[in-house]
Amino acid sequence: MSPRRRPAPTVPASRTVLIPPREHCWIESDAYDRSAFAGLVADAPSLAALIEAGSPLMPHFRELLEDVFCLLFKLEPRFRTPETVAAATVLNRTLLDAFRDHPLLEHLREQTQLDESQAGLGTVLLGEEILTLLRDERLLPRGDLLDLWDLERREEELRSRAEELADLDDLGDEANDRTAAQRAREALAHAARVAEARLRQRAQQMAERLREMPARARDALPAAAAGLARRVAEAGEESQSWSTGLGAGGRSSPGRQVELGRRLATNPKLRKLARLVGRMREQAFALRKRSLERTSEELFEVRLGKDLERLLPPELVALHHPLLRRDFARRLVEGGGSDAARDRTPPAPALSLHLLLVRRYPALHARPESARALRGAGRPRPRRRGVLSGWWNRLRDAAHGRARLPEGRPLSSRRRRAHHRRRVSDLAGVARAFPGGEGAPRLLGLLGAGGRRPELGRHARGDLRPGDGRVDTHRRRRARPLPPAVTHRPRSAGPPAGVLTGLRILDLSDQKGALAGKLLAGLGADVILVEPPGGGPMRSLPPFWQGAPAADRSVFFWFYSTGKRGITLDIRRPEGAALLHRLAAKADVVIESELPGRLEVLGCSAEALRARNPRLIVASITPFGQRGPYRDWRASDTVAQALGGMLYVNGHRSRPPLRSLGLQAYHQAGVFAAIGVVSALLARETTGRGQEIDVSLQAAVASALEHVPGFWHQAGIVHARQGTLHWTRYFRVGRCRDGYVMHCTIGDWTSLIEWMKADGMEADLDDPGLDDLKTRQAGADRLFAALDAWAERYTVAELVGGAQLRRIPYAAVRPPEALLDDPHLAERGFFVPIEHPALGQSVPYPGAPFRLGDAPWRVARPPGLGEHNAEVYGELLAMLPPEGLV
Amino acid sequence: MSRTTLSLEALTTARAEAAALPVPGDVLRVVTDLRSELRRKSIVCSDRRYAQAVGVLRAHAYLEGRTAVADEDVPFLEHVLWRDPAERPQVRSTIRELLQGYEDEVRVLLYQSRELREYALRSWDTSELRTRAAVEAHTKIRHILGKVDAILSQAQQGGRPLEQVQGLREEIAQIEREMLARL
Repeated sequence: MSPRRRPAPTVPASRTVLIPPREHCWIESDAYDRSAFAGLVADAPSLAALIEAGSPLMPHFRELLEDVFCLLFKLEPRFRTPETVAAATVLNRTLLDAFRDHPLLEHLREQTQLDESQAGLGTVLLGEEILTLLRDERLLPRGDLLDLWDLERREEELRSRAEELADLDDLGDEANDRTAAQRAREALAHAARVAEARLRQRAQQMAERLREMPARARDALPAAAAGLARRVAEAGEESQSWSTGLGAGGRSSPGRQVELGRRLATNPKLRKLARLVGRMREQAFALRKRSLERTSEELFEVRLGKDLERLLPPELVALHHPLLRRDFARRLVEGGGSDAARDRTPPAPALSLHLLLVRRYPALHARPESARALRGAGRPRPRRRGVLSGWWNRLRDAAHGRARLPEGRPLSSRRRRAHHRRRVSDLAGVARAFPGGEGAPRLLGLLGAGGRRPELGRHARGDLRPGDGRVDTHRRRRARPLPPAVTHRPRSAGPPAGVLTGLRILDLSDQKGALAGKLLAGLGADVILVEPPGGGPMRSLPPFWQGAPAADRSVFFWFYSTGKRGITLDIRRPEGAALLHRLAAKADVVIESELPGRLEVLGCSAEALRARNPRLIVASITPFGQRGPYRDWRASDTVAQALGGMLYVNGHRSRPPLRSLGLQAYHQAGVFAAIGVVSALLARETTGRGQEIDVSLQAAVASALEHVPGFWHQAGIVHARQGTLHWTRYFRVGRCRDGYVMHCTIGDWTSLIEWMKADGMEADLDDPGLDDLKTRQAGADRLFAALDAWAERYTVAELVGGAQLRRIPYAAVRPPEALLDDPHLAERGFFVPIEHPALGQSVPYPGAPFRLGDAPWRVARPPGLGEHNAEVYGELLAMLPPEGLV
Repeated sequence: MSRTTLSLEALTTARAEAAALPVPGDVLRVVTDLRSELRRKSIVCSDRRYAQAVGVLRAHAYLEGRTAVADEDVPFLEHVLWRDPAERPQVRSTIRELLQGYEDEVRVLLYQSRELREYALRSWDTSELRTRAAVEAHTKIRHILGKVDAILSQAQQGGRPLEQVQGLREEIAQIEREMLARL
């Protein structure tokens, strides 16, 4: 044990000099901790190197690391009192003090307590951070560090003086010349007292200096610990699995694990490699596991849970798909040989299991479309249990002996049989396909095993199906035709059904809520736009077709009204309000954007409308919602953006806030309203009752602020306007030769730098430190300046093409007219030409904002003023359009 | 003055008898371990010297009146396995470490365990602290026991006597049980 471990010598009362304690560690430790740390130092070269590098920079660096280790390792670390520890370790104390009660430490300690290797790894990583700070003089300026060394030297000096004094005391009695001894003693005592005074003075100075130490330096340990817990956990896990996993003989010592963990934690490439190796390992294990599974070919009792998963090889899943099923049969016929190169599982076990399952659980193979037919196409899908897909659910149900289709309907025996015939005809082909019939007996044996439903096996081979003639050929070959899709309220006229076909929506809203109606109409709902007799305000909003302001030429109105039918009704008059009630009684949804209370005055409040039709859903889109102090404030899109918090963060730092393009608040509210309507419809399926949806523009904007509230709430940071720089600081608009591009510093950084290097324009970006994302984030200004300078030599097309080729997400900042010619959008058929008979030509409209797999998106011509009056009033209320109200 | 004399025949017989003494595998293992240990300390003797060292061991055992070479003979090699007289103390300590080192290690671990027990038995302010201290002590002592077992199995493979060490281990295990009882 090192000499400093000796207990601090007690000071005899007669001696006037206070000997500085020899203890340099601030945290109480026992022999176990010390030997554990010594073992780590001996075993982990990185820790030894760290100590070697740090020791010349500050006194007692090793002790600092040992303290950090004890802090991480011990369950109950206790600090020593200041008088028992040498003054030269005052910096250690300052650093440890800032760390001891820090929440990050607690978090980190969860990983490291009583775990030598994890604690060691944490110590190394923290120590390296401290070393970097020391080297850069960010912890303490050089002068202060020298003072610290001076303090250490003075302590040493005082200690040796005190020892001399003690020796002299011991010799005192034996000395021949008592007076000479006395003189020497006094001289020594004086020197010691001087040394002590100097030491005290120096220690005091040092303590003051450290009190002035900036908080940033003082918090060096907590700062270094940020994110360390995760790194330590990950690296520790990796290093442990490396040392105990494949190809390694048992556990390695904690020191070696620390070494490996440190490399993994500090080297991203190696970490990536480790992850790959990990994946390889998983695959290797999986392979091993799979080979075991293949041994069990005939399993009869399949239960829930892992059993099932392990049993079902991917092949079986593939069988669900008609094309893959064919491929499967082909491979089976070819004997699997041709697929050896692709390393596919031989099909035999999968096939036999599959057949067994078919044999035992007929309901497994109910076709999805028949389920759809039963519940009626276009109606919402029934609720699913859990997260498994329907197929898996059915499989599970079948395993439990409750074979049934969604909605709890069991398959009728007729349907079941029809289904089996379908399967069996396939299987017969498969069985025949065995060359010379080898293997077929086995298959057929499996098929006939239970004997409960012999018709399954019967068709597999000619000689085994005596009753074949009983089944009509056409029934054997083909599924019964599905009943036509049920639509409970077909539209009067129009294109094929969307997902919301049959739904009737009255749209009373102006531009605030127009988008909601448009979206729902796109999904197939019958949206009836109800305008006042002279037309709604949107019809007079620019831009106009060919620039000429006219009632039927507002492109603005066109965009928001596609797919809607249009009627007019003066709801301000009591007769009109009464008609609205009657219309609402026949509708599923009403969308309105009147100021709160206005409809109530007209007798058409949501409650009044719903009193007559409880299934009615009423969506109100208002500036601030139906309740709250701002309820009656007047507002526009800009007001909502301002009060929603979006305006403040938009724009350039040195300029006033900017509003964003167009009517983003209205759009946001429209999308939310549409979601609200669809959700309320889903809820209505269960409860049978509609509900009111209260959409506030302000809340809609506030919901779209992404990171801003989070940063403020969690970190007290107000995100200032920063122009086109993205808040993550990885993107910014920059100028190139003929326009603007979006620069990006994430993605393949190396390729970007190589590209710049090839142009000789990399400036100082060829810094390996910039390989780290965080560094690039911090240095965003410098980076983008260099990128701007470089980009000037390219056109937008060259830059974006080259970057995308290198997998760097660059984008052209393109004007809207370029959008119309975009080949990608053209390929996907985004713009839809719509015939306007009044104009005698077709106009391109933006099409589906998203696509549904089965249902079309409907973009139809916007209605003329009162165009569908006769149609709608006739269809819904069996009356002519009311005179004087339309 | 009488001189102790040995006839040539007696000497030849003694040589033959000594050369016939069996050398147990354990002892040979100690010698090979010693060789690698010394090599690590840069004390490298020739292989020939090591081969002859076995002869020396036989002779020593014969002179001690034993019928087979034993561990007790190995310390004599401190006179054989050096090239420079200054290396002798190192050779001596290496041999000691090799023959009794495991016992010392276990003893150190025992002292650590005792210290841990004292730590856990301190008068803690709250029962929670007390429990946490006991948990810490218990965990560490369990690790210590693991180390002791590793040392023991290594010593067993080396054919070393274990009685003494088993006693030490028992004491550590006793402390562990005590800590467990405090939890």
